[in-house]
Parts: sequence; C-alpha cells; structure tokens
Amino acid sequence: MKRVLKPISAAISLLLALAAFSGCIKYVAIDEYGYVMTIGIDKGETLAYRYCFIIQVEGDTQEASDAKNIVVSAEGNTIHEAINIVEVSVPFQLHFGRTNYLLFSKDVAQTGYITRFIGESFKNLGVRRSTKLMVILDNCLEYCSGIVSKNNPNTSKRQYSILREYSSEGLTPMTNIALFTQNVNAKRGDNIVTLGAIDYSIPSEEIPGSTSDKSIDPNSTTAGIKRTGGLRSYYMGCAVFDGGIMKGVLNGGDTETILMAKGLFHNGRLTYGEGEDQIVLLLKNGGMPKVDISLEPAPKGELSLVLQCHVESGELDVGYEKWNDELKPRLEEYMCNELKRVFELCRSMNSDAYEIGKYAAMHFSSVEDWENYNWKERYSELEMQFNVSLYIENEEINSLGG
Amino acid sequence: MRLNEGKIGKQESVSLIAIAMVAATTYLLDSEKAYSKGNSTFISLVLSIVISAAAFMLVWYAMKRTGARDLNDLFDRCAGKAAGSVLSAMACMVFLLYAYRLTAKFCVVIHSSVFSFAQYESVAMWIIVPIAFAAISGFECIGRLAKILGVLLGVLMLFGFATMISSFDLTRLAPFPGSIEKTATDTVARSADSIAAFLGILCVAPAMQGIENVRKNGLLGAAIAAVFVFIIQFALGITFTYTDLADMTMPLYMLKMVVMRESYLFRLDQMNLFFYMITAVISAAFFLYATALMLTRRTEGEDVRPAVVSISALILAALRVDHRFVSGIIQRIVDFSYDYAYVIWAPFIIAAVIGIIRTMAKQKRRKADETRA
Repeated sequence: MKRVLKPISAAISLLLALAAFSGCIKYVAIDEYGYVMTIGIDKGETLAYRYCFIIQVEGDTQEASDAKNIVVSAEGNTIHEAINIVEVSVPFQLHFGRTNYLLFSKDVAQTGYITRFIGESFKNLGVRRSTKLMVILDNCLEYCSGIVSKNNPNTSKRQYSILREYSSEGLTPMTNIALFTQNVNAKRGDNIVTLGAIDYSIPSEEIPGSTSDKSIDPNSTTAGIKRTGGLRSYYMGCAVFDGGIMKGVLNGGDTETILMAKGLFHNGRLTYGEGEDQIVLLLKNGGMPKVDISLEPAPKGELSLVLQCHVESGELDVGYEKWNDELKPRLEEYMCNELKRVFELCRSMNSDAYEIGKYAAMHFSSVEDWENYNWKERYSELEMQFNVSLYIENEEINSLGG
Repeated sequence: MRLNEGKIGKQESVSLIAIAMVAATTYLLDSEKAYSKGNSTFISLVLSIVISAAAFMLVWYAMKRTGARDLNDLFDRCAGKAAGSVLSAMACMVFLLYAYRLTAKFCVVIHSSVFSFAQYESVAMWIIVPIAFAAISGFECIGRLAKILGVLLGVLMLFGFATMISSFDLTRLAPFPGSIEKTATDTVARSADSIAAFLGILCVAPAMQGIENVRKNGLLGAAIAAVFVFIIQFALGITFTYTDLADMTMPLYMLKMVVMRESYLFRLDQMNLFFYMITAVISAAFFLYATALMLTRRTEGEDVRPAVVSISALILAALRVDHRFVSGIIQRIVDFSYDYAYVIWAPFIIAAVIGIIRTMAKQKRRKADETRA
C-alpha cells in the first residue's frame, strides 16, 4: 500500500506545485483588456490635462482580423483620474504593457511636464521605458484621431513606419523614455524628439471616439508642401529640448543635420544647386563623428564627420575632375556651414542637441569635479569647428579618377 | 542521517559557485550607494571577488592542514568548541543574510514589474516555496539544478548583451572612475558578496569529494563569476549613465529598454527577469541549505529538513513583517548588515591563522617526539 501511495502523493504534490508555480496569480482573461497603443496628453479645458488613448480591442466577432482601434479621452489632474473615468465607460480594463508611443502637445512639452509625468506615473502604469516619445504641434487628440485608419487597425505598423523613416530618410529622430530621462538627468546633452503635426487639408476618417471637428482647411499643408491622400496626421522634423523643457522646433532638413552630428544618421538626401546645376545626393553614414574638445581656458571643440554619398540625379554631368575640384569642396563647405548654422540655432535655445557635453565629461575623472564644472553654464562659451569629408560611391566618377 | 548532502562533481560545483557569486554580487547591489558617485563597479566588484578568493584560500589551507571535514569542524579545531560555535553562528548569519536579501529583492521586483495586481504575500509564497523545496531536496539537487541551468542562463545573458551592441556608448562611463576612494572602499566592502558562496562550499566540503576539489572548483567558479560580473557591470555602465543607474532598483531588468529597434528580442525583459529569478532561487536555496546544515551539524541533529523548514518560515515571516510595517526595521537591519558584512572575514581569517599555527606547532612537536624516540 505504501509503495502505491508514495508515487500517487508525489504526483499530486507535483500537480499542486505546478499550479502554484505557473504564475497564475491574479490572472485576467485576455479579452478583458483593452491594450493602449498610444497615450496623448494635451492641456485640459476644465482640469489640468486631457489624456487621450488609442486602444486596440477585440472585434465583435471571433475573426482574427476583426480587431479595431478606438480613441478615448478624459480630463484629469493626473493620468490616474483620467483612467478611472475611461474605465467606467468601457467594457474592458486598460493595459499599458504594449504602449508604443507617448505624445505630448507642444503646450504641455513647453511646461516641462514630460519629466514630471515620467517620474510620477511610470511605475504604477506599467508603461515600458522603451516607449517612444513624440511632440505634437497641434493637439494630441486630433493627432490620434488622424493616425488611426479604418483599413489598417494595426497602429503598431504605422508607428513602426516612423522607425523606418528615421533609418531611411533621416528627417525625423527617434527617442524613447529611457534615453530622454538619461539626457535630462545626466546633463551631458539635450534631447530632440520626433515632431508630429496635422494636415487639415486631408479629410479624417470616421473612427469611434474621434473628435467632432471634421472641417477641412484647403490651405493646410504637410510641412509646407501640398499633399493629397494618406492620413491626416504626419511626422517630420524635431522638437528641441533644453533639459526637460521644449524650446523650439526644427524642420526635416535641420533634423537631418543634427542626426549627422550625433552619429545617429543612417541615410538621407541632399538637394544642392538650382536649375540645371541641381544634383541630388544620397548621403550615408560614414561612421561616428570624431569630437575633440578642450575645456581650458574656455571650451573649444572640433567635430569631424565622414559621409558616404551617391549622386542620384545630375550624375551625367559629374565627372571625376568636376567632382573632386569643384563639387566636393563646395558640398563639404556647405555641410560645414549647415552644421554650424544648426548648432547656433540650437544654442540660441540653450540646447546641447549635438550632445557635445558627453565628450566634455570624458575629461573628468571625478563626479564632483564634473558636476562643479556645470557644463550647461559653460556651453554658451563653446567655440565649435566642423569638418566634413565626403566620399563618393558612384563607380563611374570614382573609376574615371583612377 | 538525512543531511541530504549527496555528492556532486566538478561541473555542478563550478556552476553553483559561479551562479551564487554572480547573483549575490550583481542583483543585490544597492544602486544609490553603488552608482551615485560614478560607475566603476566593473572594476571594484571584480577586485572584491579576488580579495575574497585570497581569504578563501587562507581558510581552505587551514582546513587542509587541520584535516577538518567541514566548516563546523574547522572552527572547532581552530578555535575550540565554544568559540567555534560562535563562528558557526556568524557563518549562519551570513548565509541567512544573503538568502533573505535575494528572496526579498525578487519579491519586490517581481511584484512591482510583473504581478503588480497580486498580493505581495502571494508573490513571496510563490518564490519561497521552491527555494525551500530545493533546499529540502538537498545539496546534490541544488548542484544539479545549477549544472542544468547555469550554462543555459549564461549563454542567454551573453546573447542578450550581444543583441544590444549598437546601443552601447563608452561615453556613458564618464566621468570615470567617479571617485577613486569609493572604488577602493567598494572593493573591500563588496568582498562580502562572495563570502557566502566561498563559505558555502567549505560548509559542504564532504559533498565535493575531497579538499582539493573544493579549492579547484571554488577558484574556477570564482573566475567564471568574475568574468560575468565584469561583463554585466560593464554592459550596464555603457548603457546607462551613473545618474540613471543610481535611480534603478534593478538596472539589469531595464537593460534593453534603451534599444530603439523594434523586435521581440527587446521585449523579453519580463521573461529575462524570470531567468534571473531562477539563478536567485538556486543561490538562495544553496545559502538556505548551508544555514540549515551548519545548524543541524552544530546541534548534532540527523535531519536537515526541520532546520530548512523553520528557516524558510523565518524568512517568509520577515518578508511579510517588513512589507507590512512602514518603518522597515528589518530592512534597515539587513541593509546595515549588508554594508558591513565584509568584516566577517576577520574572525574567520584569525581562526584560520590560529588553526594553521596550532597544527604546525603540533606537527613540529610530533616530529620532535619521533626523533627523540
């Protein structure tokens, strides 16, 4: 009897242990969740802020492709107040584990609320620190309504396209919560954040929860360019920060320049010249920039950048000698001037967007000395020189030169 | 006799020592104290293992010269029964400290990061039960678990770091080293983290099949642990600045969150957390078993299981009390003990030196008697 009882009791104990160890503590069935893909924060009308959420929920049927997005919003002095209001009006519990984007309207970003929001809300919400950040020129609710498409319920795909854009065109930067707070706390550089806006000339789709204002402004553009088709909301350029406070915006071209200086540039295009002399170059990253900096008596730095380039149009007119003697020096000088111009523009906003501070920090061996040096104070005295070297990839230009 | 020591081989011992040292050194680091004046932990923690290894060698040599079977026997032979009991109690306190800290750390991290809607006590029960179960099953079970999972977890960790190479930036280490004085004091203070593992293998020396194996496996395990500690701390240092690290409860958990690329590989942080928890469970089970074994041997008991159960219950009660009371008196005592645990090497080293001197004197006297005879 004992020989039979022992394995049976061992088996029962194992089953009980498996149940206990399988992590089924306070489980929630998956259809009881609404997954928040994006959080947007605007200034509120009656309370401090308006929080809007793009939520992905199960569809009404069991079909796999029936998932849909809804946009909901509520005002509150904190996000938890807004969540309470939203949750009493929807048949699911909000889950923030898959939140991919955090949007702040320009008005909110300029108050420095981003850092406070991250510090107060993150742990309790369960939002990952890899969640990406965006600043919206208009209001986040309009932006969220404009980004959700009936035909493409997968907002992650839309958000992923921002990454692709960053890699292929360089007109927009990428940053997430972890990197944003790192720069704010470390004070060795400042953030540039993806900039979103709305083209009111594009009609918005009928999405549950979208704003009531469906008016069309035919004069509205996408970053100054007329467009038809596509979604109402778009992204291009960057918001420039001084610590945790937004100070200004830059267009796509200037964003490309900053990314080059930071070593985050992958690919992008440059149009140079006018009329028949116009050429279009595809620029590619040629490695991390080299920054030499001396701190005494006054901070002085030199940033050297190498870029690979490929002439995409106008190449029939470009021979090796024309490239080497005429175009290359002019383009390099143009790039240096652009780097300098954008650097001064950022400095006028007290933003170390080029992150020269992190190179300055390497001159110190003690935290006390570094903190006493107070880099941001000394940043205004920094004299920067820029050097750019371009290497052409076009075989026909290279090979003619031998 | 149900001491459940069993016998383990080289792979089990080395894996267990490496896991226990890495867990005690990297998981339990107080981030604010370790990083607020810069980050040189990838130097100080590695050197602390070296210092600890030197002290271990001295104690091991005393064990070899005196012919002691295990740690209790060594203390008795070196310092006498009364003082030996005191030394055994101190060793038990070290094991208990690290078993408690590992358990408490993961209760907090798992509760806040994964099961935030659950009761803290449920999470504590969920963690302490497998620790107690492994300890009751015995040292051989713990050793074999370490062998099965050690290499796998090590490879997973290295693979995780390799996927993040594009996000590393050496400038994040600046200003380096941050504070030379702090690097020096941390090197000494954090030698305590490897003490528990070294003392643990001395405690279970009979299970490691010979005193020479204790030395070889101890040093090899420590070398592997030193390499992993260096890799982990260096990776953390080039991912986060010291200002960020000082604010994080468990920086290793946050490691992949700076990566900008979209891939499922960078969303496995909670799964990785469970892997880290497994190494902590193995380490905590080892320390719990060592405590129970020391107590059972000291009280001349024949069954280690009552000691394991009662110590597990003590840890669970301490976790519950500490969580419930706002003052956190237990946590303050534990933190104080953790900060100054390195002084515990002193009585052990003194006892070892006394034991060596006494043994050498005895041997001299015996030789002299033999020559006279």
